[in-house]
Amino acid sequence: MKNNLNLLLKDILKVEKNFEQMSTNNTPNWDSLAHLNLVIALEEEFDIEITPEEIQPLYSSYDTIARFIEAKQNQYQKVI
Amino acid sequence: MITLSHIGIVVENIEDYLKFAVHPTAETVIFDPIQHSRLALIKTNTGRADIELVEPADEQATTYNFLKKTGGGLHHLCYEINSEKDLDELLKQRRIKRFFGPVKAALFEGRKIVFGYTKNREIIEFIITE
Repeated sequence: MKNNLNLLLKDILKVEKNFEQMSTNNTPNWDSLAHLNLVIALEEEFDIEITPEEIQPLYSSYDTIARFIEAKQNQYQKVI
Repeated sequence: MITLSHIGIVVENIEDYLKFAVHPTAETVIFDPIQHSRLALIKTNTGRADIELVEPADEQATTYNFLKKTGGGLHHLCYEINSEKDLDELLKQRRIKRFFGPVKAALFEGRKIVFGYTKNREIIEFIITE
């Protein structure tokens, strides 16, 4: 999962390295529009749905996003 | 039915923007605590769309980073739509991602607004008129 996430971040936020240290404070390209592009890409890549209420809290850090994706995928697996 | 309501422009300071605007007077200037922004509505008297000025007050405003990165400018289009049901259908049909709302908008007499993001990478605001 993290490899795919890193590729998305590279593509959308133009980050080349130190993905796991990323946060909105140290990533200048991570603005609100880039965040929306990231949300849409995450939905498509990981086949998850991100609700409007979940979008803003994700505007935080790499770790927050990685944990969120993992939780969503676990949630879907339980349903299936 | 969907009609164009206004064009949203993000500005650093409403009064400074008006000094050089084609329409130099804003009819309404308010602070919206939900959007963490000062908002102004310029009536263009064209019978068509008006202009909304958005001045983010702090980092919690969704337009804060947009202003910081771009210096401000054209930010969104806003449409009026009849009902939440019509809006849900439109968002689904056009694959528009809802990212904010519905919340009551102080600038629009407490009517509900929703923000969406299109596959064309545009921000669209909707005012629900019901």
